[in-house]
Amino acid sequence: MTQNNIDDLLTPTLSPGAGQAPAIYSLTASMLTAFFGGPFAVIALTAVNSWRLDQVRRDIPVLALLATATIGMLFLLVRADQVPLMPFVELPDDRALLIKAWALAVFGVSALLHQRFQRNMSFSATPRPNPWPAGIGCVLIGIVMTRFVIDVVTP
Amino acid sequence: MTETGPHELEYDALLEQVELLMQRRRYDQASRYIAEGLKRRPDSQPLLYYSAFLDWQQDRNADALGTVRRLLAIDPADYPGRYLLANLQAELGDFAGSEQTWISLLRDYPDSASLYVGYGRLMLNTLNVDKARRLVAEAMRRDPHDDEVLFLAGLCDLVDGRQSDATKHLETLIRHHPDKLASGYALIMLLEQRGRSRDALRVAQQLLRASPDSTTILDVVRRLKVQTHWSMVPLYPIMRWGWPFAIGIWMVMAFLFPVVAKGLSSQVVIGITVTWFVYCLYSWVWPRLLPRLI
Repeated sequence: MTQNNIDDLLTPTLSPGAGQAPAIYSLTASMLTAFFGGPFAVIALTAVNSWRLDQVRRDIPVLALLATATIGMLFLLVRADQVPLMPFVELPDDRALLIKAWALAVFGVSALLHQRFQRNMSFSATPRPNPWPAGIGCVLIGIVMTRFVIDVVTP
Repeated sequence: MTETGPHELEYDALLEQVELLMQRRRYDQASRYIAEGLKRRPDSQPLLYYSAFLDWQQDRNADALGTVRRLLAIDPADYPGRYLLANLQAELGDFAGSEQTWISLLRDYPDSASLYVGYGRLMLNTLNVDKARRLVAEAMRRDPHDDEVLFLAGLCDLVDGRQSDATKHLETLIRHHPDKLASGYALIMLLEQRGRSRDALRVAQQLLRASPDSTTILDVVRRLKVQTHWSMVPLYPIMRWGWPFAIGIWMVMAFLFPVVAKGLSSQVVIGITVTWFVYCLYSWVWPRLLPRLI
């Protein structure tokens, strides 16, 4: 490694007053939020995790894409009978299950987004924040958003 | 043969005795000799260092920091004192201060792999994983077989999800330093990754016998005892493959089972459904209850 690179390596990274990296909500909390609150709920909790990690700018494109894909998925599920291609695909009657399955898929993508931090926290046994307030809040947001998209955006 | 008391020894002999006791981890005895030595020579750098080190070992970090500052006021360039200061600052939450200390040490000792490891560990704890990797790479260039270097390299690989690189580093660590504590931890991690929790428990129990005061190893033994309990056997797939397995099972029950159930009798369908609910409940409740029972 060149001297310039060594000098770069020996440049301080932490600002004065920097604390240990903030802990984010666990995968269990995210998964349960997805299961009970739907895709918008887990997107909201992932956004909270991004804010805690100070990574909002980096994660916004992915979160926006997930939200857009969720709206598209809800549109397809709600309007399945009227979308030209859909008659070729036989959907189960219980579309709520499909929304839940989609929420779990969104959870999977969100887990990949912060997997490095999750692994680091589990190896360093970092205590996690209490998931209940944020989890319940995100579940409520998720339920409201899902209803909004189904009833208003895709009437 | 009776041991000579601290007040009976000359300073040099007392210092030698302190070093011997510290090597053997006989900290209570060492602290008596240190106290006696500091009464006679309050500015003794080695004794101030050992006093601070003892306090650090026994989690009296604030006292340790005070002693280290006294030491560095006498000799600001004292290497062991500065090394201990960097660790203490991190433990007391002054991460920026700890970083400054590591950087100043590295500027004075640019070829020390141990210092790159110390700085790298701080970066990993503060989630600066890329910088931690670069620091570990520098440490590897200087001492590729050092146990701390290999352990931190393995840890960085595990955090990054590079399982095969982690295995390579940790196996090298075990091969070159079979008697080191870091090798024990590395072996436990590798065995757990391969699903061999019982073997990992045996290694952890050996480590605990060698270091009975270590709360870290005790926690590892407790965790592994729970994981390897006979009543946890049905939960092996969840422990091994985590959330992907749990979600996969849910998908099967939600989408595939209703299709298959059409060809089954109602008693079988009810039986499978009830079994699944009981399994879900058991997977949530039992792992939390078991540690209180064993």
